[in-house]
Amino acid sequence: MSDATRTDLLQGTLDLLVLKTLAALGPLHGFGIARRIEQVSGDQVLLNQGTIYPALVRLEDQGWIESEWGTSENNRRARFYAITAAGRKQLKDEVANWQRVAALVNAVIASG
Amino acid sequence: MAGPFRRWRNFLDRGRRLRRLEEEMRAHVEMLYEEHRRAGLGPDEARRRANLAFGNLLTTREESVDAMTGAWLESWGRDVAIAARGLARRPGFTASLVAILALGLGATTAIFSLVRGVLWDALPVPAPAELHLAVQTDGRPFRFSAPSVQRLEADPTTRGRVIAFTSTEKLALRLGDGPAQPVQARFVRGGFFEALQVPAIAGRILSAADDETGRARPVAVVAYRWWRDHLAGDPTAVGRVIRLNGMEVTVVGVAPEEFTGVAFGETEDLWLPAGLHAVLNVWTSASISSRDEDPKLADWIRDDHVAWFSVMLRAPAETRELQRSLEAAWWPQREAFMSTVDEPAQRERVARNVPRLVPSPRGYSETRRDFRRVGLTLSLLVGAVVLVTVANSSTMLLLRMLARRRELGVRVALGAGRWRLIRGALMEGLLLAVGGAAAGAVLGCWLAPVLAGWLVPGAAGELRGPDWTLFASLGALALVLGPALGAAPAWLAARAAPQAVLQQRFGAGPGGMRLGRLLIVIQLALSVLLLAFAGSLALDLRRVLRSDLGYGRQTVVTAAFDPASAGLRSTQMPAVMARMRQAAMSFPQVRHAGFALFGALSGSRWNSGIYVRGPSAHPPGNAVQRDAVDGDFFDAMGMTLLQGRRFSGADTAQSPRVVIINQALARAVFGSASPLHRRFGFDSREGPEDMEIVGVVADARMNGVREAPGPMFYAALTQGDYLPGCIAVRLDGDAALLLPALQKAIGAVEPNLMFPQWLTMEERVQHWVRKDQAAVRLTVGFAALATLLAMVGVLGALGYLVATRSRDLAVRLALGADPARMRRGVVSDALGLGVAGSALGWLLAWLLPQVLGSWMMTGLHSDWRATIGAVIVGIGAALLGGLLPARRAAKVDPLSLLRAE
Repeated sequence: MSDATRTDLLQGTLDLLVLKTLAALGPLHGFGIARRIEQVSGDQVLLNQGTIYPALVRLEDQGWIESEWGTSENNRRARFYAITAAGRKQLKDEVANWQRVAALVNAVIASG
Repeated sequence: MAGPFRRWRNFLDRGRRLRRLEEEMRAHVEMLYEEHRRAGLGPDEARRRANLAFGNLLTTREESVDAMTGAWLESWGRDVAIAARGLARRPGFTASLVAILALGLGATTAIFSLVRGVLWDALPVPAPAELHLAVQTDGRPFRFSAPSVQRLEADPTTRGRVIAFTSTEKLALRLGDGPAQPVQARFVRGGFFEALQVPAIAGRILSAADDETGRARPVAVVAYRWWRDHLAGDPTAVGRVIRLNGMEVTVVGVAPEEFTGVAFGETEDLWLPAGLHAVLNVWTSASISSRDEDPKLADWIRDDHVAWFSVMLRAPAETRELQRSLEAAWWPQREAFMSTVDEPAQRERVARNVPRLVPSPRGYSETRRDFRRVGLTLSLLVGAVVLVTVANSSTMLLLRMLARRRELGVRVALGAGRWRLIRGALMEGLLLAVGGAAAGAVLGCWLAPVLAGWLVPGAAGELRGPDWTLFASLGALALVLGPALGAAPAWLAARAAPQAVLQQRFGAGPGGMRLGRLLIVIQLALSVLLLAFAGSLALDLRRVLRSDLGYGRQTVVTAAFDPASAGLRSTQMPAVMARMRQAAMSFPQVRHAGFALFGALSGSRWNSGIYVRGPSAHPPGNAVQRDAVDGDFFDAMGMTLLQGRRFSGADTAQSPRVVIINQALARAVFGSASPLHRRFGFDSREGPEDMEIVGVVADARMNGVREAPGPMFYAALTQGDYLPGCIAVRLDGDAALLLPALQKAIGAVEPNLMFPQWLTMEERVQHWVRKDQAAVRLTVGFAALATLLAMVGVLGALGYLVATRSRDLAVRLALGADPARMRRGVVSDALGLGVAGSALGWLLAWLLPQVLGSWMMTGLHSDWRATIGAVIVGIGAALLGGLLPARRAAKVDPLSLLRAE
């Protein structure tokens, strides 16, 4: 596999991506979330799909997402995750923060 | 912020969550597999790809478990790690903060364990909560006659519950052929140990059969410590015969190690059946009412006129029945007392004083009573010291946080939660507090016995060592202190602004510095308060020591002795006294040698009610203190005879009785009229026991150096059945030099007579105020510590200011500013802090004694000289703290700073 152009995720950004995905698409199971992130990034993100599960635990612990059992499109029992109001707020903060840091870093790089 | 409740629930629920998660992950892999199959891959290849895409299932599972268990712990754990790393990065800073806290907390531990031990610890017996003491209206133990105690023991309601005991007395003990040595004994009724539920660890306890009226057995139960120290802890010591006051007494048992007695602060080496006191010729403390002759010692055990027992009852609660039984048992004693009192006022006093049962798990202790005010004062001082240490450490942490503003800004900019920064600051405080508490515990355990030795001399051995409750309290204190320490820096962290990163200037924010200044002002104020108190105490003690006590000090030597324990009778004493005087007078330096029943600062006090004969006399309000002396005693003590004459050889048992009164009694009874040749007696009717006043002696502080002399009279030793207990010798020049030779010569007169302590009156006075001295020493120590800390605070804060402003300073210097002016700027800053702190301290020093007034120990008022001194020192400390930063401000090198830009 040519991994040269695929990007390691920055620590903490996976949470942001999961939140964003849930905010955009509504309730999804773990498989769906992983698939969506890969699709949107155009398979540019290097992701062991399993790593989203610790992220889901973390986010649920923070109260940013909630989950319940449901049935997947292929009639399989699956846990569906949905973003909460607190999660939306957190997403907004994190997005703003991300943009600020990115701008900062960009400015520094550009000035070099 | 996610609710802590949800996290807690998730944490508890983690087993089920994990199973759920495993199911999800397996399903996930299955979906991947099915997808690959649908894409036309073979089962093996599809399985391989699915596993590859998902990643290591095991690792994922572990990470999830970590995320679950860690979610709430982990963030705190990380805070701890970050805080610890942050502290470790500046070991000097951390060590000094821990040391400051350790000093404060160590002092707290020591004082707290001492105060608790003295004021709160229960008697070392099982179920101490069941103990009830019969007390008088003033809270002191009620004294019962032996028949009262016997009636109480016979009453079915109280049978088996009665714990009756006398004062402790010093006896002369001889083991084998060894020399006589003093031993502290308490006389107790036979049921004492049984009702206390104290067993013997060897031999047996006393029983009712040991103490039958008139047939007391010569047996003793000894204290564990005494058994260990004097009988070498020998188990076969039970059954051994020892000689007490010349009588053979058999040791029948050893009390357990923890049982040190029924009164904190009183040494109890052995316990004897109460009936033995007459055989051993021991006069315990007693309240005696009689019209004629005092009851003979042998009759005490049957006489309702002699009250010499304290009584505790063991019962689950102080019921009305118990109280009724107590009063019923006491009633005949009351009647006996009443029959000897005619004066209406006194009858009313006796009638009003009914014994009352109060729960007393701690028993009664004069030592505790004395210590109460000292203990409260010390607790107050410790509180102040802890506040100072906290304010100081907090200032230091705040300053450090100020210095880290840039870093904080960067962290906020990079997305660190503000909450996390706040928690970090609090965590640093907590770590420091825990470190300080641990070091403080060690320091406190070492300090506690030292302080006990100073403040409750003689009772230190009865105090329990540190135990878990102490450490638990210390831990709790650390938990409170931690957030308190971190609060100021946390507040600063909460205000950390990401913009700070983009700005180039990091001047001290006005808010942070204002808080820092406030903390320093508080420290200075508390230092000034402590200094003012320390100074006041010291001045007060100096005043007391310099005041005229009414007797000589450097030139007077005294010693107490007990003829009874040497087997001497009062009829033999004139001859013994004459030989002792002769031995003393054989030294050319000796001017006078005199004797008294008690003498000055003896710790004993004998009061009697008197009836003054004749007109125009005010009856003395309460019982009047008395002593008996020989003709030379006043001269030997250096006490001044103001009117009349001394006792002389002509005053014998056969001649009319004479008495010398002190100024206070003369003034109280006779006003300005002359008391000479007036008479008084102990009965409302005139009789042969009446005494004629032949002299007036100047007031002297016989009971203590602080106690103002009250009305008192001195009878003639030769005119009563008195056993003298005190010798006083006055010499020319330094008494201390002659003391050893004198001691030997007088001691040789009567080998059986013990003189436990020969001391000059000056030494006795010093001994008397040693607790005050200890209090002064402690307060001065605390005050010095607080002042030092405040000084460091000023140094740190102004130093920080200068460091952050060095750019400005450099620019101004480069532009030609006068370095001296900049120095003055910093100094005036320090002066401002000093003045503000001192003003606040002054206010506190003035206010606190008003608020706490009666609780405080004597002398803890704010003397104006001490307060002014404290204010000067406080301002001085602030200026001194500002000196170094001021010099640095003036020495900023403009070039090097501008180059560094």
